[in-house]
Amino acid sequence: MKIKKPLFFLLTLFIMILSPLIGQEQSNPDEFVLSYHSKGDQTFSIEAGLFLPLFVADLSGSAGIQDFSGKVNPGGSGFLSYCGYLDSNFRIGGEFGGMFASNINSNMFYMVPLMVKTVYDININTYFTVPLYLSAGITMNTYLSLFSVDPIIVPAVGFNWNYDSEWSFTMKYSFWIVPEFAPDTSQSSIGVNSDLRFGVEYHF
Amino acid sequence: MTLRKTTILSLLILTLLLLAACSGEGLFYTIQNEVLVQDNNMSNIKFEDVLATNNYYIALGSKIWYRQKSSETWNVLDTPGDSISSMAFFDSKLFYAVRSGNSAQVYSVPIDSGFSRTQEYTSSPVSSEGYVWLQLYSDVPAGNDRIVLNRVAYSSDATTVVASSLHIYDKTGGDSSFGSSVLDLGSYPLTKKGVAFGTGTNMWVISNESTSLSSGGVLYTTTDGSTFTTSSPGSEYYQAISYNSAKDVLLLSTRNDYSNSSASFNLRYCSDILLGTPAWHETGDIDYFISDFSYNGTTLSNYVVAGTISDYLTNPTKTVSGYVFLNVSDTTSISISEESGLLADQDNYESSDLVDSYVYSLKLLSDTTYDTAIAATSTGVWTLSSSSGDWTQE
Repeated sequence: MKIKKPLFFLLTLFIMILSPLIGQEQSNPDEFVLSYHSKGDQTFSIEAGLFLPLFVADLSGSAGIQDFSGKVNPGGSGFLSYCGYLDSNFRIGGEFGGMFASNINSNMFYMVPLMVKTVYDININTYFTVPLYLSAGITMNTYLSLFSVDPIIVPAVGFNWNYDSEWSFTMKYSFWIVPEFAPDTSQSSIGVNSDLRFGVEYHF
Repeated sequence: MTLRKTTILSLLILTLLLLAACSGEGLFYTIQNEVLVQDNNMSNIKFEDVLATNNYYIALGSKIWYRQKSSETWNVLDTPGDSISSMAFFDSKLFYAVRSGNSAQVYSVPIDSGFSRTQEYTSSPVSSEGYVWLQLYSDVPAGNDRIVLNRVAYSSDATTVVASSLHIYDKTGGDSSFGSSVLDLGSYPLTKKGVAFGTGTNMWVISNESTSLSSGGVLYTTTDGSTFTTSSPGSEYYQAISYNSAKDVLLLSTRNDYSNSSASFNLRYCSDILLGTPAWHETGDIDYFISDFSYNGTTLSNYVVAGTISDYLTNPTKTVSGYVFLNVSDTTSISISEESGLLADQDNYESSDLVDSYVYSLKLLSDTTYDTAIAATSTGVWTLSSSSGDWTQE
């Protein structure tokens, strides 16, 4: 069977274009992952975003769950974090940041968390990663003359675009879970808020 | 290895911090229970301006809002009760009366070095009746060291006044609390009272001792702070009372025939009440009644600023309120005017920015310019900017 010249040319071109990808598929599938994240690798990230109030759960049980977004306006948040990889997916480190938001009377509310951060990276492919975060630590909160230091737990899910082996662009949605145990137990509550952050992550 | 050390160290620090982390102050609770100042009908609002610190204090529900004149930020203090009925400044402290259920108490907080949350003075709760309502009056503008408490006790079904009495906390007398009653104000259903302080121990108290909103006003007068005589100038309903020490004139806001179309609102005033031969005068019907007096010394020496509530019964289309100036340069013939050039050129009565706001309480901030006013109204708190000359809602 004789193949016509134009068709042969097209098939050759198609094979040439696909050949690198075919080559990748045929090589060790962990090769790229290992080249990006391996034990000892470290990351540094900077993020900024939108703080979104959610609700406050009254621990005394008298008021139940109350909408916090009716009392606090959306605000801003920002974080710096550092992590080191323990294996190709799991990393641990710390993060420091803060949020600000105004309330209904334009008084500012601030939270400054200092947390240990753990991350599990689900590597979709070379370019995209879905990191699952869990951070815990303390947060220093202030509102008007009030000041408190409370524990904080922040679970989060993200989506990273790995621009190259060093730089990633990140997006993250996190929940700020802050139990507050006041001396007056009727004022104890758990504040649950969230933020949507965008940032860049440097791998080294 | 380095990472392991870092991890262990981080976890150790985290544990220590978590152990030390239970120092909350109910911050979420405070924010969650905060109310919007300007959206509340503040018919029950009480407020004080504190001369020494230029602070404003506003009580609403169980909270006290306070801010300095130089700041636009309102701070909030939660109080140990359900509803604050009154506040008064005295002896470098803010006293407030607060009711909780059928019990009421007076507390004070020092304000010398910023507003402290420490409650210094606590009166014994009074709750033998249905409930008790407490009203405080301070004579700070008169420069004396007294604070007066009106205690009103209701029946157990909270429908009938069973007793009303006046108590004095007199710093000069060495008392550290409100003493026993100095004046029995009976069990009349109308609870509107007023206290004006003169120099020394001179004091006037108004009470309304009938069931009518157009009569029954009684003026109690004391020169020694404990023995009172009674009179009833005009035999009308008494709304507000104030003494202007600069001009030695006692001002009395009254009304009569409130329930029909011939309602009349009168300003009665007594010239030379302490320093000369007292003589009563009146302005005649002024179409609105004066809800509160406020005055200052130097710049406005010839004027008393009065908050007004319009005559909405006989003039239902005229629903504006505001303030007017009482020209007291001649205390035998006081005129009412809407002066310009004072209070930053405001011509506020019948102007649009306080439309529909009944001025329940009006205070002038006693700074050196005397050109700032704050008003508690039916639509919230308004302040007058000395720079722009505009009233703005807080």
